[in-house]
Amino acid sequence: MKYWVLILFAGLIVLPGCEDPPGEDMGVSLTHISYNPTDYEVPAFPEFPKMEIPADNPLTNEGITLGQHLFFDPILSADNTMSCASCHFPELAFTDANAVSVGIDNVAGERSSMSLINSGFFTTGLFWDGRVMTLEEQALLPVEDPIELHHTWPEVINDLQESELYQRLFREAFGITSTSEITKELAAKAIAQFERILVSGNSKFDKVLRNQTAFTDEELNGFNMYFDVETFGFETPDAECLHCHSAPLMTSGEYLNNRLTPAETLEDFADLGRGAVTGVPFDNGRFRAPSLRNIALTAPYMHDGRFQTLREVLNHYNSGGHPSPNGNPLVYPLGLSEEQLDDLELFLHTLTDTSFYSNPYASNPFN
Amino acid sequence: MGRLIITFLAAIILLPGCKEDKSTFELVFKATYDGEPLVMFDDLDYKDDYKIRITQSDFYITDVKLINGDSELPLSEVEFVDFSSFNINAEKALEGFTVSYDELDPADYNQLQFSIGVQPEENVMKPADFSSNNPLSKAGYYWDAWDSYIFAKLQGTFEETPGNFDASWFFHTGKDELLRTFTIDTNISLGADETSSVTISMDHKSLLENQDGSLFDIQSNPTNHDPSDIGPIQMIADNYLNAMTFQ
Ligand code: HEC
Ligand code: HEC
Repeated sequence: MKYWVLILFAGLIVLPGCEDPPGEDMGVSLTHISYNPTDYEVPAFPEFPKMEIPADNPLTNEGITLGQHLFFDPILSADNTMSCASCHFPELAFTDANAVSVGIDNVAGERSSMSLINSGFFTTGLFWDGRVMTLEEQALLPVEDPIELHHTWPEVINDLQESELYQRLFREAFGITSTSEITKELAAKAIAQFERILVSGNSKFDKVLRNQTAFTDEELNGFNMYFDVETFGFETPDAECLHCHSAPLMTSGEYLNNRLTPAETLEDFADLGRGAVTGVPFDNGRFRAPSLRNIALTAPYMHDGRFQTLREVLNHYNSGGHPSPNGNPLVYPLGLSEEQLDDLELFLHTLTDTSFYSNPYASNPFN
Repeated sequence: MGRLIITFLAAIILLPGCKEDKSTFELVFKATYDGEPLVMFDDLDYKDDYKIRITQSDFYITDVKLINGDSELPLSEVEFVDFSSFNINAEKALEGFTVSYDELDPADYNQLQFSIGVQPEENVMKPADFSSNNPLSKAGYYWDAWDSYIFAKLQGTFEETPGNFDASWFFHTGKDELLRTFTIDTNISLGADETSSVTISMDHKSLLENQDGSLFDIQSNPTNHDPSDIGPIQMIADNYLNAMTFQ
């Protein structure tokens, strides 16, 4: 009996054993952990636009470290089996090799995972249909998406608040003074910081433009077709790619219909894409033209992963695609020979840049 | 006491009136086709034997200013007039794509000036040089083969056989020599606390006219492809003046 009372007493004393005055909040004080955020400078590439970083979420090494942990940690999923990285593998330029992604309940979605490389530069909307504008907004969604991590934020926050690792990482990143200040908004900010550092601009293509190396004849031929370059005495047909996959990011960021789906009317698309977001029928069947950087690493291709190989993609464009009321005029029969398709494909391979792997943040911190 | 309160209230209401009175000026762009409001994707009578649809029409206007003799009021360096995503139905087409300038000092002007196209100073730059809130940041509006911005995109589909609009046409203008500047004589009085406007109607059928008044033969010549052959797009640039009416 005496023991009982003692234990009860001890419990009462120890439980609130944190410095916060009782009644203010239920969190654990974190002020004993030092808070000295250090700036992180994103590698700059001369041809790239300046990355627009929100004033209320500057990049720090500590914020990125936190984001990196959250990104690779299955703590974000209901059954602790999946993390963001389960559909965004670093070695696949942060895609997942599936036609459409599959979440924790083994339910397949309708869309293919997207590369996260250079997503910090995208200003015309995220996802295939552009339904969110910022990485911060985006990062809130997968956790509660029933076909992705299928968890709830209150439960995730609970787990994070109880984790000593995350108590420290959140404190170091954002200077919070108590675990009760760990919120989904801060988690999203950290993930967004992590994504902004995933930049790639050192492909062979870039090095050629910087006069650091040279294309092979075949690659140059492919380059000329991609960019509709007119060369004297060495004529190549135009492949028109540049209009939608424009340098330097290899995307125009526009929402377009590249004639994947035969459609008699604007209602004939299984996935309305941009149209479901804007409510404008002309936008049905339009999707964001994705960046072609690292495209050789991100098969299968298109919003629904319908093409297994780059060659299938090129065959699609060479055929002119399918008739459709809002099919883009720049997709029409190109008339390229097999050899020319080979050259175009070789050029696409020059857009691969694995130098971002050497960034220590671009790998799983739990390994 | 009652008086005091009323005076006080009156003061509160009148106070903001003591601030300098500013004026607003609007440029309203209306796209028409043969005088009728132009709706994207509508079937349009074209040549005797085939119809067309216009699915995209947008362009840069630059160096927008009001002029009165020696005094000039620069309004903006660049705007993107986007009929493509605005003219989605007749209501919108009638309303017009509006560019608005506020906080202007009241004054009288008798000319409006703007260019269609990108000024040579900016045309040596590239989309990556601009932040995303500047229309010149649009990566899809630069053509390396030209070393130029695409000033305007005009495109659509046409009938190959009746009722079948599967075939496409497009004319994209660009390069310094196709920059066109327009000076319109019109009295614009910027009154305090008032909004004045100029409406610019651009008739898209007139844009597609040859010098002799016949229409482009879109069926046999649907694109401006060869960067060195600027024939059709030069025609479009030269057609702007006649295609536009000002109110
Ligand atoms: C079940 C697989 C899956 C998981 C888990 C997942 N994603 Fe994705 N991700 C996708 C798919 C599929 C898309 C494209 C969805 C669409 O367009 O509707 C996508 C798109 C994105 C995009 C948009 C990229 C762009 O260029 O527009 C970002 C950013 C992103 N995911 C980040 C994350 C983050 C951060 C997490 C973890 C919090 C995460 N994803 C978890 C499959 C997944
Ligand atoms: C009219 C604009 C347009 C043109 C021209 C164009 N594309 Fe695309 N491209 C798109 C759009 C839009 C998508 C996404 C379509 C979807 O998934 O529904 C896409 C997707 C792709 C993909 C798949 C990307 C991924 O991550 O899955 C590849 C590869 C590609 N295009 C290569 C090319 C090549 C090579 C050319 C030139 C031969 C080209 N494109 C021409 C608009 C265009």
